[in-house]
Amino acid sequence: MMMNKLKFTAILMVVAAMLLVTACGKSETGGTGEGATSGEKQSGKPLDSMTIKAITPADFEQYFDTVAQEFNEKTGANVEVEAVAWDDLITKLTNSMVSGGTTYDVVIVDDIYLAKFAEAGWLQPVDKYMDEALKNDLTPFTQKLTSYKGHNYGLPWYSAWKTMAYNKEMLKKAGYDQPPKTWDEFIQVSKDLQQKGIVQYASAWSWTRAEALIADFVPIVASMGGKMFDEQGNPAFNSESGVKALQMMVDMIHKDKIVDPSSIQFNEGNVEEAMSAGKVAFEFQWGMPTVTHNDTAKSQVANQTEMFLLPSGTTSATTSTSAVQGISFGSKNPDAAWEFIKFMNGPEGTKRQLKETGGTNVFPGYKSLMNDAEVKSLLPGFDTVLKQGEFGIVRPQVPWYQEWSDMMQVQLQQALTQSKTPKQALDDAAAETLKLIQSNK
Amino acid sequence: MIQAKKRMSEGRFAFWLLLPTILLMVGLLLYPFIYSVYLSFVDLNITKPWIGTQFVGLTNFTDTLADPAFWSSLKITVYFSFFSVAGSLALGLAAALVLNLNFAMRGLFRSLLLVPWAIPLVIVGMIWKLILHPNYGALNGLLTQTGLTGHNIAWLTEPGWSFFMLIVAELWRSFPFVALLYLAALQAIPKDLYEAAKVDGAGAFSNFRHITLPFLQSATLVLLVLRTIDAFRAFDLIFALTKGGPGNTTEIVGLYLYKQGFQFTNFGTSAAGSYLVTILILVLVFVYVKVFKLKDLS
Amino acid sequence: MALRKMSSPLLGKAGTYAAVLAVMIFTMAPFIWVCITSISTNKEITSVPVHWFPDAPTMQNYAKVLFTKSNVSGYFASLSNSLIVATVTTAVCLLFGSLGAYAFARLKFPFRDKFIIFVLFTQMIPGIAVLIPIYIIFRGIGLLDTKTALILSQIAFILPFIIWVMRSFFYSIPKELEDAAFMDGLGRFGTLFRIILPVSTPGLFATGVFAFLNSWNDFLTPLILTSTDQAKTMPVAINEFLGRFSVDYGLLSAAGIVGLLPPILISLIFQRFLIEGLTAGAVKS
Repeated sequence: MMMNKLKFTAILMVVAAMLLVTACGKSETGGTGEGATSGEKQSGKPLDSMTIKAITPADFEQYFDTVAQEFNEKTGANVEVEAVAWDDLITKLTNSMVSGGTTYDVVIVDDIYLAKFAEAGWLQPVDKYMDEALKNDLTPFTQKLTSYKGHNYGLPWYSAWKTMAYNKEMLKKAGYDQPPKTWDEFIQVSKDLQQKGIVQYASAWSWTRAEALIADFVPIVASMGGKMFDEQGNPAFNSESGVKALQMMVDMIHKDKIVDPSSIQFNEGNVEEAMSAGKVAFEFQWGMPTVTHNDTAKSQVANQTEMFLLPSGTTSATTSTSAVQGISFGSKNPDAAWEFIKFMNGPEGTKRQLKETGGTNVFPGYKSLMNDAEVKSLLPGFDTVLKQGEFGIVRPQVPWYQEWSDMMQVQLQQALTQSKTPKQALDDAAAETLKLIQSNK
Repeated sequence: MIQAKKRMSEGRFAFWLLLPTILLMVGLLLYPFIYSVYLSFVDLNITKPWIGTQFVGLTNFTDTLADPAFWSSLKITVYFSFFSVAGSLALGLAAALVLNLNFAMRGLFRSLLLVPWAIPLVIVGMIWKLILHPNYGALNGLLTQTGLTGHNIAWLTEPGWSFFMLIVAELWRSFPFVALLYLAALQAIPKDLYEAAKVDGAGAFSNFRHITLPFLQSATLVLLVLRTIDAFRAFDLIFALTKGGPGNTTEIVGLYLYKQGFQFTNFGTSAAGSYLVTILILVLVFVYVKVFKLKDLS
Repeated sequence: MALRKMSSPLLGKAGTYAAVLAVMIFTMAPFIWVCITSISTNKEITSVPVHWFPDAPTMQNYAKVLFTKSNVSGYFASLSNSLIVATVTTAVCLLFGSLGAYAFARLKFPFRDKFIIFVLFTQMIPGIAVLIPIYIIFRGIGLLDTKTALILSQIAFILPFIIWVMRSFFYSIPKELEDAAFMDGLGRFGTLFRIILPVSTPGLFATGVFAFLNSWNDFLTPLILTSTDQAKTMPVAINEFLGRFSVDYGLLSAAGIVGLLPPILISLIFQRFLIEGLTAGAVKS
């Protein structure tokens, strides 16, 4: 009898537990913090008691939280922010969209994925929210990167490109008072620095198996006069200039030995770390790394670094990117979401981000800010960076960019690890690209 | 004599006992498995909602079979499984033999074996990533400080080393289970067999071959099957340690399928691919059992 | 009369201890290294040459992992999710699994042998093969990103294992016990719950620990089925940390240690049952 009762109780408890868990699972609107939509304080704020869910890459978490806080004070709306690693961002967003688009209201879509998201109908167009003045204030490149097939999908966020930085103290020690201008000079100076025992490796690059690798490959090819696709949309990266570029990357690691071989595993964070620790003399980085390097709390090379242009083969080049902060198609509060987006990434919000984060990774995406004196004063060395921006190239804007990039990363890494010759790798990549184009017609 | 109550028939009793299990397995395994058959013949067109679900026949299967990345991942999985199974069995047996000896605190040491086994695989990956860090990792630190190498080795970026280290990490976490199983089997061997052999003047190696090994047969079969299945289904460790890199030199088939489904949203291709893998695993197990059954009979 | 071998005749006393030491070092070294890293500051971790023990050990990494909201908010939530999911899954699997296992071990019924093969097969299917349809099905019924989804999916692959192992356990119980109970007037259910199960507690503990560990350590299921703190479990959270805080080695180590402590502690506490259970279940199949 006892046992039967016990068994019965046990089953009851299990069922109860499962019910409890289900209830818990459905009623929570999100883990961390203040979620509730109840709290009726009629303070008369416009967006009182609304909850907006946003997502951000981890590096911006603190700033995002600050802005969210202010937005809450201003409008009464609650902004819940989830921070994830850069590379996880696209997976999380994709999953959210596939499962109905309600996980986040405000999303951040990198320009390389905009085509895919827009085509799939995962973003709400924001044309109706933008007045002429705002539309015209977008710089040509941010306009290009935040719109698709004639519709705008949000406001530019993290508009940036990569520029080179060099450690001028190290170069001075080796007898150079100017950074190298061409690749030949770059290799020469690097070898010299190493020979003189100033550094073990002159540079480290973010060539890990991730988007970062493509972000470097594209400008290096461009600097040799090549490009990714031709006017007809066919692969052009396996041209002579493309192969030359990849060969140079491979040689810099294995033949000239001026690039830290761990670069094949490094992301941008690792590269910045190496530079800040005084381990390398050159880095190719997003935004204005000098600001981070001058932070004595994190860096050992304060005031030793300066910016310069990517060395040229025939020209200098860089990758320009701009993510767009937009509204998920499943959002129930698109108007409120837009208010937040405008608050955070409109011209005023952007200027403020420049001021507060020292413009380390944000460049003004608005014409009105490009010429703003205050903005310019905040960004030392900005004129070099601006100059680099003139050589900005955008990565291919196609809905199948993800698959293409993934495939390219594999091929490029095979060349970098010398499992294939650069020509072989790029030819194979071109063949795969043609297949992708075919299957996506 | 107490009148024994009339008992429920065996069949009925079994039915009631198994009812919850049947419900759960049908709902959570059988139905999804069949649904995935459906999935492998359609294209959900998740990113092209205006087209919607399309029947595509065998396209998903042919696409997968034509994808060099699929074959590459299969090849790597086979290599991985081979080294993982062979290595963990060898290492586990060695450890079991050592732990079978008598020495102080034997119980404590045996317990410590559980540590690598219990750690979540993602954390195992993280731990080894830390150890293998080119500039700050313990391994390079050890090697350079003892003068065994002159410079830091980038373990996870050289294709050969990366795979090697993956195997090392995998062996580290999987050998304890093997060791414990073998240990139990070893301890079941009657000691007088060894005594008798000693009297006959037999040496250690002969003992091992003629006394120990035969007793380990059934354990070995079980381990072979379990470890092979485990290795083919590997995912967590590789995801955390190398994510398939450098390039795709450690991209095992689980990772390939995951990418197809959850990065490229090709659920149909992913479903088709996972069927192919399931069939492969079943064939392998079938082969194992047949081989050992034959041996058993002989 | 068992002969106590003092040491292997092959290795001698010193050799034995050396071999034991080698095995132990191999087993514990990585774990100890993470512990050391977790109590070091990042400055020390990134200094060259390697600090084998921090000059200034600190608990700040643990404080950051567990208490600081802005940095690692969500880890605590993920730990609690893991706990809930693992507990419920274990309870359900133990209950239904042992009932089912008894049926396979003791009773004759049609398709018995086919069923048990089916149970075995379910253990061989790669996780992704079942998770993709489950993902799509749960998406359709709005169960994504819930703990319930995790519990259900985990039951699907843990329940068969429990059945498999407990079946072996039940084989080892002498039939006389049941016959005696029957003579005493107990019916089928009575015998099961009052006689058999109490005797099987070692097996139940063993499989219970195994179920808990499998659930706690499960990564692929929550990776696919969850996205926010309301259902995310510890392994997924740690994986996100690897990306988010990729250079905060101290933090990563501390998070890792916190995540691995429950399964290790449980394994050590119940090790006797665990080892008996695993080996019995596996060897007697």
